Amino acid sequence: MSDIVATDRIAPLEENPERAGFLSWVASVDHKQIGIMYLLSGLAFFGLGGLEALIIRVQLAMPGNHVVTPDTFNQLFSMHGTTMIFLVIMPVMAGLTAYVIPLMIGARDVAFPRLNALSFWVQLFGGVLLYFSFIAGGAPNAGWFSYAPLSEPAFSFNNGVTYWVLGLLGIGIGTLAGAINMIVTILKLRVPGMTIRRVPLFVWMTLVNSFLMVLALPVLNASLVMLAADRLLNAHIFTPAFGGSAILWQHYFWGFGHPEVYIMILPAFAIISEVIPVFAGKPIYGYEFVAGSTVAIAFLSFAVWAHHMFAVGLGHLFDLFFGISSMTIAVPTGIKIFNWTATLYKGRIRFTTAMKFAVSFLLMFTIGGLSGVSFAVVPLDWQLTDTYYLVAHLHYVLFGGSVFAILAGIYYWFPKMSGRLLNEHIGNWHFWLTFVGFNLTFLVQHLLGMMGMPRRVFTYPDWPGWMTLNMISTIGAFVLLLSVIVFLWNIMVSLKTGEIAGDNPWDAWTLEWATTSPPPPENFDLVPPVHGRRPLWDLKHPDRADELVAAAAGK
Amino acid sequence: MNGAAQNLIYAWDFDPSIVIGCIALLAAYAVAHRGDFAHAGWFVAGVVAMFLALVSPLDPLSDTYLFSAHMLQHLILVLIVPPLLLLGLSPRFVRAVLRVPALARIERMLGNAVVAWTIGMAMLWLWHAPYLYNATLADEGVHIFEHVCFLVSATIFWWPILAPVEEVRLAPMPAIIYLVTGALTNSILAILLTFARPGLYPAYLSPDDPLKILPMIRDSWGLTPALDQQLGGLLMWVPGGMVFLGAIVWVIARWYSTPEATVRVAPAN
Amino acid sequence: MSKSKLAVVLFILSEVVFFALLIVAYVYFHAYPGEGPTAANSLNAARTGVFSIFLFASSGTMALASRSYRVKSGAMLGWLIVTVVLGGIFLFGQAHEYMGLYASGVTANRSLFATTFFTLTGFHGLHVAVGLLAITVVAVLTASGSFGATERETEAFGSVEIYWHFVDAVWVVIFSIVYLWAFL
Repeated sequence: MSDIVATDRIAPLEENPERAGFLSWVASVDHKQIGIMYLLSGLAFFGLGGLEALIIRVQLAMPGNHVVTPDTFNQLFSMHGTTMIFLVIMPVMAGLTAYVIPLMIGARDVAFPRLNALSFWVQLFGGVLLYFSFIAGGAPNAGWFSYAPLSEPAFSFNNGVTYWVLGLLGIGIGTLAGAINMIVTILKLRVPGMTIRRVPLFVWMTLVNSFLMVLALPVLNASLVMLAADRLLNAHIFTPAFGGSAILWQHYFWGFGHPEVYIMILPAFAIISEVIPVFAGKPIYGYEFVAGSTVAIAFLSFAVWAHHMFAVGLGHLFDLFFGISSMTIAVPTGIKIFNWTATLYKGRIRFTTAMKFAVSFLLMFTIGGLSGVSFAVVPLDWQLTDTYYLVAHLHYVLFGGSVFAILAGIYYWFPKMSGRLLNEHIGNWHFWLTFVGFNLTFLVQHLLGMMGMPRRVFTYPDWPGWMTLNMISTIGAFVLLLSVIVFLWNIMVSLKTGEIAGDNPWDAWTLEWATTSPPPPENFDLVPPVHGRRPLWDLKHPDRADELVAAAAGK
Repeated sequence: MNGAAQNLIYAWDFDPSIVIGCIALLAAYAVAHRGDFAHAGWFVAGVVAMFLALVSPLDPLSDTYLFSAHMLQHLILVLIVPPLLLLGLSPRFVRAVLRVPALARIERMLGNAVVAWTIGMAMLWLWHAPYLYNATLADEGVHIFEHVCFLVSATIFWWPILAPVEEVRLAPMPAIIYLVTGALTNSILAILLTFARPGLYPAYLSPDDPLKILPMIRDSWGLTPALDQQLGGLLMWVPGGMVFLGAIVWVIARWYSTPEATVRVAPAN
Repeated sequence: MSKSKLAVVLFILSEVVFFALLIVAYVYFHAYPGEGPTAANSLNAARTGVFSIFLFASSGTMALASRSYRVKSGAMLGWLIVTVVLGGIFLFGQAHEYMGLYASGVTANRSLFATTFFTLTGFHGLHVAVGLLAITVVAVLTASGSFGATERETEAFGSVEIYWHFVDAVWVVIFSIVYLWAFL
């Protein structure tokens, strides 16, 4: 075993002179530092987006409330959605992949380290530009998808939507560059022995997801450019009154928007595919099916966007075809849920905090997926679209799905990044507060939606049951606030006095666990040999190697 | 059942050229494969699909009445028949063919991924240009030429993916890109057709009614010319796209089920 | 395929999608035109065609520059400069066309044709400009003797070359759809 870096030597951030000083971070092109900066910026924007959500929930706790004006409310929900999607989930996923991928493939850094840094800073700048709108006349107020003609100058009372366009263009460029970088990294920098069929599923899913980004982000960029022409050059591409087409915006935006939601969930699937096997003590069940179904999902994500437009009046025939394709996309997703669940079966499960988030991801995302499939039934969609049922659905998949997976990933990789484990006792509080708070907030919203409460309304009449359910939802939001505070507390306490992690605190199998925690700047002193999908397992148990390794050795 | 439906069901047209052509194809296969019939089922299925598409009532529906029916017929000719025929070729036969230098040269030229993709996609787009498409409806000779173009260009398109011999096929990941970009290009054309103003192909607006089924089509089936055109585009888009997805899943399944040789890794010490 | 080439190919893939969407918007409004100026009554296909020839020629000279680079014949710098000049003439032609259109009242907001026309050709022009910048950088480095023939530099030049050919290929499509199709 002399070819693995076997020491428990820590090289905490403070000791390594290369990492000292604030300026070294700003100028860094090291993927680990850039990854951490993504995570920190994501955390900051999570605070802002969460604050926006809390104010929304306070306003909606009671009917006829006047905590904020209607226009402020519009700005709040527009910014909440835009922030959480473009400035939290996507950057945090980018940060986790930037940090982990080079380590997982045994590389020194990404293919284009300076491009990596550019991606981060352009993304951050886009976010700052977006938030600048608050003090420059008002934030965007046409929703996170800025439907025309509401987004057009004739109906906007401030420059908010223009900031939205420009900020998102910046973010879009940063994300696209990051995706290209990641594809080249994965295809070109893998350590010899790690063929494409042997990569950890985190790597495979990141590869597929990056291709999805390369194809979907330009759709957003083209749409934004045309909206910019309307807003800044007084054009009328999307204004029906002058011969333009508001529906064209919807098609174009959702042509991006639907792949975008898969862009946000695929990295979550990637994290779960690493965490669950490790803490179940079993390799993933059906690696090939998980890998193949990922490609199917990515492909189908381009074939279903019109299911956001069932209520637009495109015609029954149109609705029928897209309803069918939308139901189809549930199949590869279901295959994955089955595989993760089967991995748990007869496993020796360790319920670390990471595992708690991962297992509850399975439940929460399934609920979100079911409500999603219910929307594929077109007449149901006509009733439920743009109600709180939809808000419930999207939060179950994006919070119960993506965010829970992110939290699992953070508890899983925090030790590698910092050298210390996050406290499991505080983590337990964090988990349960999050789980309870999340479900309290969003489960009741299914009911509110079915009772007819539309989304994006700043208040509602005092109809029976509406206030009770809204109040429950608001209380849940404050429980979530508490959970975030506990999480931050955990991070701060653990950074100072957390248990030293060592190289491989979880007894995991992928290459990032074959170096110190945190890794040295060059990542590895020596990379272990790779013959199968779980290199560290194969090294530790040469007599019980994976079938792949045995097949390759000719047994 | 009523008279119109009966007229349609019995409207089979066993055009001699098609019957002879299919028999010839099967005969050629039998001779060329000389007892090596492990894959024959696929090939026969392909010929049967082509035969049915061209002689069943689908044919008069396509030629005269409905754009969507014609689309269905073409989808079969482009997305179903060539893959089946290719899957039906035996590796031994293909290798024997490729040993002939002239044929190998042709294969290298036409089987190149960029060339094959472009030929396949270009043919698809070209024949939907109103000028050309209307010509096929007006002149049977042009129509036959169009069908031959489709069959040949589609076979070329599917060759880098489904050729029986691994050496001439695309590697799995480039194959997936090939299919994804093909599907997207197919989708863009389909989108244009779905959203185009009705009457892109004027012959379908008020067709002749030799089979006396037009009232059934317009009234019982509810297919106005506008809906018919939209349906044609949607068929190309969604079910057409699904065929590409099926091919992608096939490529991945084949890829993961091929065992991998071990890669020599230098010992660390 | 090297890292640089793969990166440029992926970038081009994303740009194909970007331009495809702008083209679809143009085609959509060509089929459902509002009022105001249209392609047929505003554009001069012949004049733009002449300027287009300069752009297409620049692809040829770029290929020649690439060959000179590979065989180290010393003509690389010359061909690069010719490429930049040819591309610059194309851009000049476009600027001239834009000014003419503006002068006759065909501004970007005048009609849906105008908006989609300027957006599509404008972004193409932007891509041409960026390409010329990249080629100029290579030319300057070559002139100062700093552009050698290591693998990294070879791949970098190859990437610029691919990008330039892509920009030309896009113009073939745009010219056909905007200028030629309008007059069919």
